Amino acid sequence: MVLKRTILTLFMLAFFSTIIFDIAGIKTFPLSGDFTVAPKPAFESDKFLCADYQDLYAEYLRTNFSTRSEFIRMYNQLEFTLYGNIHAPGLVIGKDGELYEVGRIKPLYGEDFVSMPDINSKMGMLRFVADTLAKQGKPLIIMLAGDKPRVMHKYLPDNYQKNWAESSNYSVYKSLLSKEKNVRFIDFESYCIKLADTCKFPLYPKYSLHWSPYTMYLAIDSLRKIVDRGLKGKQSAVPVLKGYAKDKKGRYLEYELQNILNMYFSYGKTENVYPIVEYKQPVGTKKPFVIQIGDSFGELLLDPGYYTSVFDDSSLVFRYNAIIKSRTKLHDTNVNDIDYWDYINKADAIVIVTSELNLDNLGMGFIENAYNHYKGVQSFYDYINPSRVREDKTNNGIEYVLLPGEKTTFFKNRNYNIKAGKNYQLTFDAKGEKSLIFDLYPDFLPGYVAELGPDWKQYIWKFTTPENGMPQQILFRIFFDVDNNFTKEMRLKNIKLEEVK
Amino acid sequence: MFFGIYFLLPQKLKNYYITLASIAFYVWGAPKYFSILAFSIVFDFLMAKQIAKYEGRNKKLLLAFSVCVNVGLLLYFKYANFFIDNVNASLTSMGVENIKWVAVALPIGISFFTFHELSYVIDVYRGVKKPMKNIADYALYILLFPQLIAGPIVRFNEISDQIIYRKDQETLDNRLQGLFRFIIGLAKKVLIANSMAVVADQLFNAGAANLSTEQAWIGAIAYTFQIYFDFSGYSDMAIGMARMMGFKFPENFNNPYVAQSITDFWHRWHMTLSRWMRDYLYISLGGNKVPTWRMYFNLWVVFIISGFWHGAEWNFLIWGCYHGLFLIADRVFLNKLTGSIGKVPRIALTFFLVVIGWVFFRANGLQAALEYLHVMFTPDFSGIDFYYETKFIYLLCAAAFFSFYGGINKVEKWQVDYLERPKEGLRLVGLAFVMAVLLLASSGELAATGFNPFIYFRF
Repeated sequence: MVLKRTILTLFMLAFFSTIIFDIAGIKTFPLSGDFTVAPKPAFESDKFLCADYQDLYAEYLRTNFSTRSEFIRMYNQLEFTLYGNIHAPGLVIGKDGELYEVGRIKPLYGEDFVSMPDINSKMGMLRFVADTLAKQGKPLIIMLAGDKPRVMHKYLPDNYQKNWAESSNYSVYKSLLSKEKNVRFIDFESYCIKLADTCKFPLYPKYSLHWSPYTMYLAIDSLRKIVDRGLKGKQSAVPVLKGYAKDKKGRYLEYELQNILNMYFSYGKTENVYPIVEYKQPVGTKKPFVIQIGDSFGELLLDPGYYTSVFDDSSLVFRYNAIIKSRTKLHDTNVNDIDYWDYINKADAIVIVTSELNLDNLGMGFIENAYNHYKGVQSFYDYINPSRVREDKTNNGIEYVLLPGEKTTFFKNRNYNIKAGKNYQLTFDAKGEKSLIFDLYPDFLPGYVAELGPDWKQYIWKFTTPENGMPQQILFRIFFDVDNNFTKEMRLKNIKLEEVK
Repeated sequence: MFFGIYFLLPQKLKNYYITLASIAFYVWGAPKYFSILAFSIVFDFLMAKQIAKYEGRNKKLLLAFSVCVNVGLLLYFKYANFFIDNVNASLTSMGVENIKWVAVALPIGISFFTFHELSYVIDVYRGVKKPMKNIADYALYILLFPQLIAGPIVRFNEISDQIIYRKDQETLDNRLQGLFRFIIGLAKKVLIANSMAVVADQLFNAGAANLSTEQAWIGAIAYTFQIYFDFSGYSDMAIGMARMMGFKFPENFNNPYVAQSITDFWHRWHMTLSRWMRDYLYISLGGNKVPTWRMYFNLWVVFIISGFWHGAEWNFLIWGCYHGLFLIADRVFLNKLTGSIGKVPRIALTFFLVVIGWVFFRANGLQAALEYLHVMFTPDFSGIDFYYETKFIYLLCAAAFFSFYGGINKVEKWQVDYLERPKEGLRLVGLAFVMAVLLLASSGELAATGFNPFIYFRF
């Protein structure tokens, strides 16, 4: 009887543990990687009566209960141990245990191809920007970093062993960029593909999507050679290989994909190779100050110190053209909080580093912004959040698609000449499930909250600036800050801010 | 949480607590329809009281009125859309203007609570049981949350005494056995049925024309296992939870896929529905005490109604007809014909017929079912690009094993013994360990994957 009572009590305690943890506000060790949890729904009687509220609440409970992370780890471990399955969204196991991100495989088959008219339009702007920079004596370099699925395609899972698309962003840009006079194009991806079979060290760690430290070394060496061409009085430091260190721990992102598998036991270990590099500065030269607009591949060049050792150590990486990565006090600053064009003007060279995945938005907004800047075109934004805004040109004009996710700023513009004591009118069309906020920053008058609906509707915000107390530099912003996140895309078009009488 | 409070409550409050919890459970799931449920509870409670008072013609008239109201509600909410859609289709084909109609939503669990209420009034009418004195006790019979929305269909006479007095059944053994039964049901649903559903859904939704013969068969077999482990899993959970409260619900499944004929299948599949149909419909139509042709006809009618009870679609009707035909065929010649071929071939033949039947049940409409069957029986090996995961293959084997192992001699007896007899000592510890593993695995799956409703919830 005692045994039975004990067993029943233990089971009941197990059921209650989650409730006790919830009440006490204790959460188990959090999960790695990006995942979405359902927000707590607001009670609405209409939604309650048709049971929509209950569905949302059940999903909220399922994704927020205190011990969820342990259940997920246990599930992931069992699935892997019993069936060899992994359950990290968007990851697949390739041959010999290689891990891949599905999103990075799709470009091989042209699934993210942005269409020839769009590419031609972008190339037109790029040509103008490159010509303008060339006149200023600044080379524009575009480095196509290899993406693991194309370079390590032999290890892709069987169901992804298909013929590559003839029309892909990679194939088209590769062909067009190599013909541009003032764009110095480094097709590092093709170089890696050739090297893949013969290289003595892994070009990509088995459990990472990014390039290995050894590949980064090869990349920085290629990049500095191209940057140095024609630079007057400035030369990059030459990275000289002195040997290799090896370990299984992983210093950078060597286990990044494995970590998001969220299991109790390690998926696997590999020996990682770390080049030991010395930097030799050519006598009588100074290192160039280089600004890189890059994705995570470009940012990663900072980690082993390659980027700021080869180039001037105050050189900057504008990660996704949004956040500054560097060794300087500007580290982690938003690009909107510096005088962007002043820095560009000071740079000796501009480098765009992009992996194949991000070719659908080559330059991550830099090319468009620079085109508008140098042309003197007034755009309603000078900053676009590239990971959350997509331009849809399928209908007449441009629709800006604001992609679901956590609260963020979508657009900013500091170029509007907003003066004191004037009347202004902002008009735009929008639709969506949540509210968008339009404001002028720093705050000196109330912002405008647009409650969007399922159908297109025109919104008008009229405001008058004060005679006194206007900040010197005003930023016009469009952002989402109503809830933690939203789940359905919102759309904007015909945005116009003008002075009215 | 419910049981944590339930175990601590004094006996006299327990029924009220279950009733309140059941109301909360229904209102949470379908608040709009609670008024219909509440109305039918009050109506049948009062009707049964009246039926018990009268004799003869008046008694019959009261019963008929009660049956009409109950069946009328079911017909309106469940079948009006189907009826109007078909009438409108006919009118369209004749070029006549359609009937204007706003579609009616189906109150969750109406098929089950209507049958429970009919069971109550008919049992009272037949004098099998006296009407309940207290409406709260009657409401508990209808609302009892483990069986409210997806069965098992517990006849009034099976449970009425337990509602009033079940203190003797609220033992530690029953609580533990009930808990283990609940976990077994959860594991059946979450670990097996949901995995079968992934493949069945993908293959059935791909469109028959795109499938190879092998894919069509795998889809049909995956669905065959899905529906069994889904529904029997739910029944196990309901039986287990009821047992933890001291109720003894009737069994709903007994290794249906080891049936040796379609007649045998219906003695093993959704047994509470079969018994309800037999006791309240088949016997009312005359049962076996009619000429043979009439008996066959009655059987067929019962199965057509049984099929239609599952859903207002032509394919459910055809599924009922299909099973009804084989039931008659069993009696006329099939049992004699297969009598000498041996147990395993008979099981295989019955399973084959059941799989074909499930295609009607699962396909999105009659046309889709016929197209799917055409692919199953027309050898063609060029299908969609479909990858069977290791997990599916393992679980398909597990599903097959747990579906057929009941066919081995003495296993059925062992199953009953194992489920019923309390364990002691090391056997209890071992069983508790297995249950803990199943519970953790199922909870992990539930936490990691989305909401997966039970198939029978929609009936």
